[in-house]
Parts: sequence; structure tokens; C-alpha cells
Amino acid sequence: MKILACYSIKGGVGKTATAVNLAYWAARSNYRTLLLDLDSQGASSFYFRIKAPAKKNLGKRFLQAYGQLASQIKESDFPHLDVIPAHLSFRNFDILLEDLGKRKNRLRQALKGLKKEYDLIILDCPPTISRLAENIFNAADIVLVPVIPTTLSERTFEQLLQFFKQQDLSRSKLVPFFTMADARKQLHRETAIAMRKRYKNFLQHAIPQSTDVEKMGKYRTPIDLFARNTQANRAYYALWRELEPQLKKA
Amino acid sequence: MRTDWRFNRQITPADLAACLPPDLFLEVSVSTEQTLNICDSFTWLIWQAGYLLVQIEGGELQLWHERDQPVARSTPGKGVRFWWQLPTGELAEKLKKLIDMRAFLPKFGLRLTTSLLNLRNPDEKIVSRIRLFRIAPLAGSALSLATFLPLRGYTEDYQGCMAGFAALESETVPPLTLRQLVIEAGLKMETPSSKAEFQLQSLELAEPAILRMAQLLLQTARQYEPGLVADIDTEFVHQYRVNIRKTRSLISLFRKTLSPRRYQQLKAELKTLGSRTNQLRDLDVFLLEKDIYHQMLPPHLRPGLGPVFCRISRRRAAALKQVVSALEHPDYEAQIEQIRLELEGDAEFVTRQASTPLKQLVCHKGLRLYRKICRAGQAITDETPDAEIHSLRISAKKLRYLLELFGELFPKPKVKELISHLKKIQDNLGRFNDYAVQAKFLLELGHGRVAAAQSASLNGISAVLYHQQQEERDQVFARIAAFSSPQVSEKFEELLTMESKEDTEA
Repeated sequence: MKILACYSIKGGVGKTATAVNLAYWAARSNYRTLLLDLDSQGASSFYFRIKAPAKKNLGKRFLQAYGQLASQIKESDFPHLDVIPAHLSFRNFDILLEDLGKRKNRLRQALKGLKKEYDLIILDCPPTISRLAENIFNAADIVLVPVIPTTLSERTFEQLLQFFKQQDLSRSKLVPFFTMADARKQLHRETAIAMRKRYKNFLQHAIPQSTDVEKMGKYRTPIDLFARNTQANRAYYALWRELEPQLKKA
Repeated sequence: MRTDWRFNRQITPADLAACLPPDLFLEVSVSTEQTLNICDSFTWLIWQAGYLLVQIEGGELQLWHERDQPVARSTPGKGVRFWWQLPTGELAEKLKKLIDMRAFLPKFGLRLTTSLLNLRNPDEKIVSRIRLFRIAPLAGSALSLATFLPLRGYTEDYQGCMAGFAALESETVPPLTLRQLVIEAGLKMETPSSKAEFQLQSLELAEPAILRMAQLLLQTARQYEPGLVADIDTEFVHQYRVNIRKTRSLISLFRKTLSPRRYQQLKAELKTLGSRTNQLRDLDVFLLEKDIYHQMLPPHLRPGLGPVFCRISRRRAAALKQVVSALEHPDYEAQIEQIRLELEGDAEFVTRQASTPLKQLVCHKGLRLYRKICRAGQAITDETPDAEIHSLRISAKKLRYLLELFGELFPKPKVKELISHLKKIQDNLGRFNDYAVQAKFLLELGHGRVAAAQSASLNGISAVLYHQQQEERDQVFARIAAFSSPQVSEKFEELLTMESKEDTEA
């Protein structure tokens, strides 16, 4: 079982769209896939039309016992693809983790129990750099980072690298790729070229700026179901194909 | 947990929708209607191995396995019924293993409509799935069945739906795999009993038992007549012959239980019955081993083989025609009737063996045969004429038939073990005989005006066969030594002596 985290310190960079579409293509490639929506806003659950459970304090129980985790699994409308929907109490993860002691691999332990059921777990992460983030970085085999090719995004990516260095985490886990890229903008082109030169493990495929990605909110499905022959859909598929061998190696 | 139902009346998606809780709605995602033809060998070998061969809309052939998935597929041309006529690939390979030289034929047809239904909640999320089936057998009335599949994490919705559907009268059925659907459609397998069950009793009197067994064997043989006449595959003539040969062997082994008149009558009639198909079977064997002959020869001697096999095929066609016309002639029916009357006649009890308890007699005969084989086998030297080795083969075959025919009187594993010992020596002797027969036949094919290439191929094969026959002959000594070794001998004696004592006392 491999764990892939979609993570960014910045919000609004297309993390959730990436998690949803990659989970869809992984399942289509016969990976038994679980999408774990850790973001209390629950956007990826929303895209799969799956509601959050009404239980209280789910976050706490969630980290304490694997059984609690498994009982939250919901089958999506697609074969091989299950989802654990977000819960409002997930916003308190940091406090919870503090309470539970300083263990950095609490999340990894909880996910271990799902080893037999899934080949791939995709984490849709909230945009924070915190104790939860540390747990995510420890649990993940690959931390996939969407980066908009702008100066500001470049800065946040450097902050993330810095954080990894400080925490003595393996930086080879970090796999960045460009998202919301607009080839018509000179700034995007220049930043992309410069960053690719500086950071060697950028993925080749980039996700373009596209209204089809935005329309996911309207259709509440992965792009492939409502805009099959679009550039955005092909880009997500290509991204998955590029990522698949790296996951096997990780 | 999934649920599978057969409804007591025909059900449409609308009927199901009417039973749903108010917050759920039903959507038909796919609906397909197909004519399926289940294909199998005469004796349902594919089905019995846990597979299902199905032809869809008269086109693609699919082989399904227990997991309810097609494991191989291929689109055959018209009139294809053997694995070797299919395009090279997975399906051909699988069928080769399953039915070998037997033909696959359409056995059962049905029209299947499959509708995949989704049940959605107000968020339009699927909470449960239904597969609704409508089966219309090509003969019989249509029926509706369904599989209800819950989605993980939506148990409550599923239970709510199922409570609603309970209003539709139904019965629970085993999981509706394609195989189960075919059974629901009314498939009844009529397997011809390849090994007849005689319901033998140790203490019953020999003569009536032998007559009853012969009747059953003859009936079994006759089951293969239609397939033989239609020339479906070579197994029909083979099985027809095996059963007649067993009948002959039975009558001959137990001739002393019958009145001399009855024995002579049966012997003569059965002989003509059996020998009528000799030539056809010999030619079949040749044609089936075509590839082996091809490999026997070095490449430069192969060109003549094609025309040789053309000649054999023509002869085979003629032989078949002869057999078919004989079988369709009124005389054949009269002859069968004659044999039947003879077998169904009352036991006459004119000999001492006629009223001997069956098992006692079987043990006695079996032991005598075994000892005879050992004696004759040990007397074989390098100088022994081939004819004597052939007669040893006949004795071994008789013993094999005896053990097979009367196996039900003995503990199964013991009989099986003895048959396996017997099989080793039989294989050896069988090959020895086959090579001789084939060599003789080839010699005859080479007579008269034959093209040089054909002659070269025939001579080449003859040389190889001669060599192989010598090799088999050399092995006879070792096989006989093993077969008459104290270990094997003890087992035969144990099964056939001790048992006979017990039963006499009883």
C-alpha cells in the first residue's frame, strides 16, 4: 500500500481537484484506492457527493483506532474507489495531536490498518503547516505539491523545503508539479523554466488553467465524466501515468 | 451483503421504483438484451469442470469461469466445433485442455436482458445497485430475477430499499452468476452415464447380474449412436466401441454363467457389432496423430505426408459412410433387438457358475487372470513371438475391464491403486501393439502405384515405428517384473482372496 499526499501551504492551488482526479484515474487503473479527505471544508467529499457523518468528535476517535477509520469508509460511484469524507471536527486535528502526545507517526499508524484493503491511499490535505502536516509528511510515500508558476508560489515552495530540512524529513518525498499554468503569461513561462532548472524532480506534465477544473463543482464528478476530450482531463491522466511508476518505486 | 431474488412474476424497473423510500430514486444506467447459446461437449465436460462456454448473438464465443468473468474469448467462423478450428489463442488453448478432441455444440439457448440500475439519494450519490435480469428461455416462459448490491457505508439506505422491495413476492436464490442464471432458465444436464452404475450386490447370483450389466452397457453404447451418425467428433465412435468391447469382454469372461446356446449367440452378434467400426476407429487414430507423424520425420521426408493424409481422410469418409448406412439400416435395429431379447431373457441357471455368488466369482476370475498375466509375462524372452505379447495385452485388458466393471463391489481406493499398476503395463503393451498395427497399415498404403514422395514418407514412418516398437518390447520385461513383484502381487491377492473368503463365510 502506498500513501500519496496532495499538499500545499497555500490554498486555492488545485489540491482537491488533483486529489479527486488522480484518485479516479488510479481506480480506473485497478488500484484499490481510498481518498481520505483531511480538509475540514470537505471539498473532495463534495465532489464525490459524499456527506460527512453526523457523529461528534470523529477526529479524535479517528486517530485512536483503526476500526473507527474503517467504519467511516464510503463506496464512491466508481469501482475500486472509496472515500472517507471530511468531518468538521477535523479542523481540530492539531489540538488533538497535541493531546495525544508528540508522536509524529500517529496518522501512519492509523492508516497501516487499511493495508490489506487498499493499494493506494490519497490524502487531500488542508493548507496548514502544523503538527498535522508533520504527521502527513511522515505517513506519505510521496508528497505531491501543486505549484502555480508565480513568484509567490515559488516562495511558499521554498518555505516547504525549508521546513523539511529543519524537521530532517526526506526531501526526495516532495514531488512538485505546475498547476493552473497559463502558457500565454510570460511570468508563468519564465517562472516555470527557472524552477524546473532549480528543482530537478518537477513532474513533466502540468495542469493548465481551465474552466473545466472549476466546473467540477457544478457537476460534482471527476472531469473525465463531463469533459472527456478536454486538455485538462488529458493533463490529469498524463499526470497519473507519470506518477504511477514513481509510486511503485517509493 | 448482496441479496439475490427470483420474483414470482415479471418485474420491470418501474415496479422496483414504486417500492422505493421517498428520498431515493432509481435510474437505469445500462440495459442489454442478448441471445446466449450455452455450448458444451456431448457429456458436458466444460460445465462439469466449472466453466461455461457461451456464444453471444451467434457470434463471439466466451469461456466463463466461477468468478463470473469471461477468461477467454474468440469469434469463430461458421460451423466451427473443435478447438483447433478456432483462431490461435487463449480460448483454443483452454478448450484443448477441457475437451480435447471432442466437439462443442450448442446445448441450451436463452434470451437474457440485463438492466443495471442505480439507486441515488437526493445528492445524486449512488447508494445501492441492482442488476435486474429477465430470462426468456427459447422454450418456456420468461422470468425476472435480481441481484441487490449494497455500497459500503450506505447500509441504512440499502436496508430501507430492501424493506420496500419485500412487497414484491420473491424467493431467495443462490448468487446470480451467469451459471446460476442458466440453471434458473431451466438448463437440465442430461449426462450420458459414461460409466454405468450397476448396483451390484456381493451375494447376488452371477447369471442374472451378468445379463443385467450387459444390457446396461449396450444401452450406454447406444447413447453414442446419434453423435456417431452425425459425426460430431471421434469420441462418439470411440465410446460406442469401448462400451461394446466391455460387453464382449464381460460375456467372454463369464461365459460359464450362461447356457452355451446363449453365449454363442451373444458372442457372434456382439462380434459383428464391434468389428463394424474397426476400420473407422483405426483411421481416426491416424488422423488424430497427424502432428506426431509429422514430427517423426526429418523435413526432407515430410512433403509426401500431405497426400498420404488426404488419402486417409478420403478412406475415413468412406468408412464413416459405410458405418452410418449400416447403423441406419433396418437390419441394425433388428440385430440390436436380437441381442436385447437375448439379454432380457430370464436367467436359465443351467451351469454351476450361473448361481454362484457374484463377488466370489469375480474374485476367482480376477485372481486367475492376474496369475495368468504374471506367468505369461515372466515366460517372455527375446525370442518370444510378437503374437504372444499381443495375447498378454488382451489378458491385461480383460483384467482392467473386470476391475472397472465390478469396482463397486470393492473398496474404491484399493481398486484404483490396482488399476494404476495395471495401467503402466497396459500403456506399454498398448503402444507395442499400436506401432505394429500402424506399421502394417502404412505398409498397405505403400502398395501399388504410389508417388515417390509419399513412398519416402511412408517408409520413413515405418522405420521410426519399427524402432519404437523394439523399444517398447525392451520395456516389457521391466514392466512385467514390476507388475508381478511381491508388493503388487500381495495387493491383488489381498483384494481378491481375503474378500472372497469373507463373503463365502457371510
